[in-house]
Amino acid sequence: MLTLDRRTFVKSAAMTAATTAAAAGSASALSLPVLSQPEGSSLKWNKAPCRFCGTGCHVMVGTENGRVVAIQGDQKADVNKGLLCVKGYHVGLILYGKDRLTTPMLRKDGKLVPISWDEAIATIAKRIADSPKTFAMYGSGQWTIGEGCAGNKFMKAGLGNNHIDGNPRLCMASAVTGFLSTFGVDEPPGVYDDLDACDVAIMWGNNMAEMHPVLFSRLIDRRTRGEKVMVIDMTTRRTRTSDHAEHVLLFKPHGDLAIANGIAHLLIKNGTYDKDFVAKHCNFRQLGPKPDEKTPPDMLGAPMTFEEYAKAVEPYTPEKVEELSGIPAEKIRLLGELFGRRDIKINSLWCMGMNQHTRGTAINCLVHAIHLLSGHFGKPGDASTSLTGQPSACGTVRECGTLSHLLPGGRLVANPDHRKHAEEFWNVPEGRIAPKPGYHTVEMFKRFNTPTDQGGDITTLWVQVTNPGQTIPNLERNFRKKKGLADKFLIVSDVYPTATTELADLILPSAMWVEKNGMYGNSERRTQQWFKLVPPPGDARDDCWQTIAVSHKLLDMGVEGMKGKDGKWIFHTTDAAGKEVPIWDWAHYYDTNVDERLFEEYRAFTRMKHKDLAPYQEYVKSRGLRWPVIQQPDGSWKETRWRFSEFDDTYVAKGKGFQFYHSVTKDDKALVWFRPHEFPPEMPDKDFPFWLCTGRVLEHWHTGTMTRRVPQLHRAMPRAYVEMNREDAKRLGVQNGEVVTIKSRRGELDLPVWIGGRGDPKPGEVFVPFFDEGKLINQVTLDEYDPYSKQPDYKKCAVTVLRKA
Amino acid sequence: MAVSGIVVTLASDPGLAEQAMAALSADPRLTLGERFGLRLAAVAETDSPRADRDLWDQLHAIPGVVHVDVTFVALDQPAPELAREMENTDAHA
Repeated sequence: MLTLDRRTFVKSAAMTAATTAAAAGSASALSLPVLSQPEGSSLKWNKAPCRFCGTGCHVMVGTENGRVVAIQGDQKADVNKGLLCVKGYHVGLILYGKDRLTTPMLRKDGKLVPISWDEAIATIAKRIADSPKTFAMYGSGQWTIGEGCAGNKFMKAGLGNNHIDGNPRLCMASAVTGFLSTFGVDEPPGVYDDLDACDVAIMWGNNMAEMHPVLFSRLIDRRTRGEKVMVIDMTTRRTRTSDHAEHVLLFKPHGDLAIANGIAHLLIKNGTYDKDFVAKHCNFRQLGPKPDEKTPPDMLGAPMTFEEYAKAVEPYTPEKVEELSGIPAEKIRLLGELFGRRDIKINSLWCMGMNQHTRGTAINCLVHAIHLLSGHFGKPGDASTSLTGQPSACGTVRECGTLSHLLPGGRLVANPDHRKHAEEFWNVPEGRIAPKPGYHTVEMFKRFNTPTDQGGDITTLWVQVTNPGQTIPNLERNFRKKKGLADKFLIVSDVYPTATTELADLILPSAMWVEKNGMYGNSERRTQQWFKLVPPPGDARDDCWQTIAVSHKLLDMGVEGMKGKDGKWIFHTTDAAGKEVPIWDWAHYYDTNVDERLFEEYRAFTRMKHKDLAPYQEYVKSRGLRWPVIQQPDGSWKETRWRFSEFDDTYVAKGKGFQFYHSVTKDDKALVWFRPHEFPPEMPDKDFPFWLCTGRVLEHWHTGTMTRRVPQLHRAMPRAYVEMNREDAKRLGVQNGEVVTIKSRRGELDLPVWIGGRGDPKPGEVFVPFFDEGKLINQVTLDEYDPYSKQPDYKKCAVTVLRKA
Repeated sequence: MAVSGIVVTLASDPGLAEQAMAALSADPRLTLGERFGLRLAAVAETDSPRADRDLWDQLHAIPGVVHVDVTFVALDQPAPELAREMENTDAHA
């Protein structure tokens, strides 16, 4: 409990933070609060990005006696300007759940028993050394940049093994393929500043009010200052975002493909497309040969003329789009008219709704296409912007390249020149990196869950900072089958027991968030840094150290891949005097800043795709910098907000206006893609008459392993549920709170019904959140995925709703 | 004891905003700070995290309150009754 003195101080700090934020919100001067800290207090404040989503809010972390004791929004942070969401202001409590993992545990005779770190590291090293090519590593967008860099180098440059993937494959991969197909380089051209400047914000299947509440607040708050901003919520179910929208357009699953083509149709038919922008900056593209077993997916497609493109979108009349999407024709006309106007700015925003989609690449390309076609691009407020779900899906996985087909800095393992670059930067012998991409997430888990003698050629899997036991689609088939396969070995590094550790053979206790040094990269290309502020509990240790320690053990065992071309260990690290620092030894891991060493090595990779990063120490001083970060003549470092726009992007040649300098067609032009409307692979029928959509809730972050351990958040949202439309419930005779069975062709789950709750699905649809480890909805979901991004579709499959006897 | 710094955004309708101000002023759990246009700084003090959450819901329900942002929170141990409640669920606080 708070003492009186402490309470007085805390109240003073709380009022200062609130006053500064209130003043900032009313456009007054922004300043860092000076806290009236009482004499003798040992409370210290330091910056850190929030641990949760990809927004990248900064928090100020108050620590005292080795514990986090206070959190406040960081007034200096551009992203959140002192504000935090309900999860963010409780972020400090995620460290203090009572069941933190504090010692390594190995399954012996079916039971997990505590072991030493030495035994744990030796066990992993032996499994890898015995069969290096059947080893895989699975991480996430919660990996810090250092952790991702270490894992990627260990696998690709050390073991010559590309079986490393991350859970952004499950949430962001289609955004990646969309950006690559359109601009030739990943990540959004625009930034959050577009939220401050747009006249119209279009949510494409994006419940921003709950999933990115601080950004939504930034947008909606403009109305309180008398500014007009129209919100159009295109969605398959009403959500809290809908409450703030002028237009709520409820569409049928996959209807978004028809809507985007319908807008393009109207822009051309009405002659309101931006003829000058299109002529100067766009080429047109259509699908190449349809991918099948013999024809791999081809993201380059086939050229088409403007006339051919116009003909392709001609059938997408408002009436036809109404038929395909369920959106009234006059609303399609409204969208067409808005995009046809030059006097307004339009910001399209999306997240999982467009990405978890078996045509995810297609809809990403189509939304970029209508922005390019209409010229709503590259000016403050005019942007097509994907948002990320994890704090470093962009910074670590997409930029450092911890996916099975990538190398750092936007390079590809299949490209010989890119492999050569990576071998040079990593200082390993030529030919070390394997030319064939490794397994993507779903394939990796399928192989791990298939008997070895039946093609299951992944036998040891190391999972760090993620929870696939809850998130992999079709869990029975793709995760839980491992239980009966004696030769498979699952290693899990985590902070709490999870649905994944439940099947683990070896559990490694990890440090989390401010218990370690770290760097993240958020949704708007902003790279952020923080320092370790408190010690991890018990014998928990950094994930990065774990990877490095295994690598050194393999070096000791004579595994050649752990040596660079100079014969030194691949993670060889020296101090300022040139003396080796034994970073494999936990007692010496923090004798140097391993994060800085790995980041500086990685930084060399970032120039090729113009994702230039500043030196590590620049991030220490800032609340993040958005790449490309360019050194100025005076030695300072300038971030970039609007890529490809001459007024802000240093890499655009003078006089060009716009320049897509990584153009797929090598002529500085972006691609306007035509992709047709297609129906989903599984649709409701007589036996399974409902659509199932899954997703997140405001209070919990993804699988809830952290937020369900925060009492305030747990109380606010304790259990999963199934949202049903009132008419459907009435027809089935189901009452609010009644437990029903949600059943698909793959599995079933009992859940209480919530009618008229937070969200409201259309008739014929149900929604279930996935945060509850006691109610694993991914036993029911479908494991079909986009052929280009390999991202599964968690947003639509067919189910039935059964009343309990 | 839970202490939070909050920013209350008031309705642009002057009548509604004043009505909200009156309700907020009368709430003993709140210490009101400076007002900047439609944004009001305040500190909320409650006996437990549970009461904190209840206050949050009640603030949103006041006519004339458009939005409540939290800018600061002191992380104290959960009150004993809440700790007991968490013990009895499968969550792990």
